[in-house]
Amino acid sequence: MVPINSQKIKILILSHNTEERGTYFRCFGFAKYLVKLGQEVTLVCLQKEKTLKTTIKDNSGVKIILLPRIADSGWGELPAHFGRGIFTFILCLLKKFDVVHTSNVASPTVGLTTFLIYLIKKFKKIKLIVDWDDWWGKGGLLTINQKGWFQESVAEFLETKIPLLADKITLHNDLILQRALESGVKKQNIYKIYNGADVDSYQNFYTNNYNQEKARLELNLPQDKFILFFGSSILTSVPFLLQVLKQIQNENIILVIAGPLHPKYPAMAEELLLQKRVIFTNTIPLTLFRKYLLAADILLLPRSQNSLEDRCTFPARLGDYLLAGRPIIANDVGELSRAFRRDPLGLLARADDQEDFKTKIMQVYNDPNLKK
Amino acid sequence: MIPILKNKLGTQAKNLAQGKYSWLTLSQELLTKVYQY
Repeated sequence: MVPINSQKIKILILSHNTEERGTYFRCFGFAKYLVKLGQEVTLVCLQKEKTLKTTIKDNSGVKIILLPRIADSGWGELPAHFGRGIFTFILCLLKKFDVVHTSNVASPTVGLTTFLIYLIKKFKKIKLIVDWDDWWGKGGLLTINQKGWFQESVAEFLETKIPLLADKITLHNDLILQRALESGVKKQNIYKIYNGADVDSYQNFYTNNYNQEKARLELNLPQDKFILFFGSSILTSVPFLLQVLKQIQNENIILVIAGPLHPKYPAMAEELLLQKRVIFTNTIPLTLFRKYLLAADILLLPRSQNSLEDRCTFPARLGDYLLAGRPIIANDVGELSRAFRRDPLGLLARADDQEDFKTKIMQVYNDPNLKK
Repeated sequence: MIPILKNKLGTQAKNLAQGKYSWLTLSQELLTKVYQY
């Protein structure tokens, strides 16, 4: 047990992701602000590029250890999973950590490490926390992506059994909470904590009066258009958004989409005769992403009730959307609907309802009262 | 066009981002409820 108000707590956070991707942002969000609260935090994640090198660096006071990565993803990484597990285990043996917080134990890199740390946690007086952030096992992402029986079964086992070894579980979604309870995790050990907003990263924008006009000028976006923006590392809702835009017969309203571009999306826009009203930026760095948010008039968070991913995750980009100070329109799906109902985060359109999504956009576009 | 930064919805969102939804608030919650007890 770590006593309250004691000296600095030494925390190790493990992410299965590469730096600046996916749940890395959740891990880094906690890490950066735990440091601001006076704690000592080490974050272990993977290198962005394939390399056999291990790199150590400092980011906002967080000690980040970037481990080698030998394949793009998945089970080509199998030898690396073991190597990374052993490395992190030795790190825990040699260094003193009061808390180890592991994210996504369905990945062997983290699942194996979490198991090894469990074996020494009493001896090393470590409090072990598991962050359950997604649904990878049976019926989840690996099933949807047709990764096969073996991968699914291993992920299912790790995802549902490893959390039972932890002292506490953190998560951000009621669907995952239900799954944790069904797996045998005790309710009193579960804490729901959403993804948050990195306020510090916007201070420069706020203090330098970086406004919409400047952002558009810098990004070469038209000053006279009403800009809708959607950014994500997964663009499956682009067809939905293009259909919504098609229904908005107002040439003044355009859509900017940021994320990993597949040629089928521009083709789709062309087919709908929307090519002059849609801008695809492809994947952009976070600093640029933030400028696009500030250049926009409305920020979109489309979610589908038919997507397990949309139902069981909580988008990390919501924090940036909120900080940009623009109206947000989301679909009434999953944890977002609970958050939007609890707090005035933006407008909710009915799930998978193009007409209602369009209505909400036009409500903001037309209603001067909403713009006060 | 009315400056969007003064937008009512946007202002509400920004206020929430700087308070209840900030990583600082959430990390404090993590520290006191999960790491320490």
